[in-house]
Amino acid sequence: MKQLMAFKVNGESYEEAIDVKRTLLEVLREDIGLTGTKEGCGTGDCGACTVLIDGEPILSCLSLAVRYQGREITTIEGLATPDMLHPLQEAFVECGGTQCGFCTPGTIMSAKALLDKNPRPTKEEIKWAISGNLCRCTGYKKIIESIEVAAERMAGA
Amino acid sequence: MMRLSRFEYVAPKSLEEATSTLKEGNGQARLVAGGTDLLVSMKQKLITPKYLVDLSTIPDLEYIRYDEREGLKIGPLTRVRDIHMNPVIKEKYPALAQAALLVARPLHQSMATVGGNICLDARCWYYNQSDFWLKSRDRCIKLEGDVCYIAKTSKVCVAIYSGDIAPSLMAYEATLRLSGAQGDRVIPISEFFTNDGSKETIREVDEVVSEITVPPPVQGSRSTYLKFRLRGAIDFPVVGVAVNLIMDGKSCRKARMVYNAIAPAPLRAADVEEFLTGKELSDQVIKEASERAYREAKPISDTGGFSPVYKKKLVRVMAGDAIVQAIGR
Repeated sequence: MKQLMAFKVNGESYEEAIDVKRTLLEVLREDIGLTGTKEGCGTGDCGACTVLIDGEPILSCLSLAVRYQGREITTIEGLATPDMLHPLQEAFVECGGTQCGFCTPGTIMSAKALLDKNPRPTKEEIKWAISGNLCRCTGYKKIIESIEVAAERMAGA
Repeated sequence: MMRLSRFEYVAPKSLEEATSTLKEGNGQARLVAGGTDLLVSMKQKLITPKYLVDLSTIPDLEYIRYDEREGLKIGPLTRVRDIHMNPVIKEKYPALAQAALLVARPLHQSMATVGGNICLDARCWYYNQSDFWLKSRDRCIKLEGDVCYIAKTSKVCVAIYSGDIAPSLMAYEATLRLSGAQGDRVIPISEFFTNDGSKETIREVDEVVSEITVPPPVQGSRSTYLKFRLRGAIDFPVVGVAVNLIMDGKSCRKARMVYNAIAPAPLRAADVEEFLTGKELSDQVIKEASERAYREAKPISDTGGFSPVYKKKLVRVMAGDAIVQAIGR
């Protein structure tokens, strides 16, 4: 059973007949080709599939694509411009907040949602915001530092 | 990639449409609200509905209204996040706000709904696996087999109920309105649960939880919800305790305490409640109450595999802590 869907991803409009059983994660990766968003577990436990809907972070692996008619979706690919990385991406690279990189897109999206609402978060607020993004590599310390550095730069600019 | 099996998607525009679709579906139609619990079971292929009825397409099911006479009215599609961010709830129903804050983590809270959390599927470490894994053993009672891997001699499913919001609602003596094809009924939330892991609630196949009502806060009410879980976020409760004490100075006029995650339903701590009523809550009384909680609770092992003995000890500690935190010592 398919439904005709129209929505925006990273500012670009898409219109497609989508099978109702497909998750947003599947559509983003397989139909639109944006493979930055990852499937870490498929059951909503790891946060690697985090994307933003109208600025709000959600788990795209547990989201039915057909529910997002007319919405604005932001993925990791939507952060950088052709000339520059987003301050969050830069900070993660500089501070060592990314090792294998698999959890990074999801974590950055959670961080972006936080900083867009709360430009000067405390450490506790950062930890809360990324509490749903599991990382097996970094031990989280560098991730938190990266977000703190990005926050400083974004607030300063 | 974990994919869902085929289903027909129904997007009702009214509760009537939803309930009549459920009735016609005759057990083959399932409701989806936030999807954070149902879609997991669907991906594990434990639940494979023929029809998926989307509650989020029905207008006016997402609201929080407070009135001094009628109390709090919450629509079932209200996001868990909106519960803990609501200033009225934070001030007047702190145990509810705390419970909402403790559900999973922020990513879930922005998708999950109050109605969905109340109707959370009961799970145990056996059931909470993929269908493929489950094929290695005979099916359990919840999956229409006849063996239980958690309680070997049990004839009833003992899968644990883990919804964090219902215990606080029970402590506040909330009521639920269930809307079905035949009409509506209003029941106290404490009567909603069956304590049977294979059919956790009395909700009929065509019924939708259409409203949650919490009575206006009673003068002297001191309440809280405590959750013990393995990690700082994401996990189901190993043990949860909700408490609502109606205090008259130092004395407790009326007590409501609810144990969570020790059984297929949130359970009233009847013995502890009776003990606390009419007493001054000294350290000695609180200690005795904890011991009674320890004796009263008969926990069952859960998705994390914590033993019943350990959970019993946790209940003792948490019952005492909940009382202390509620009265602000």
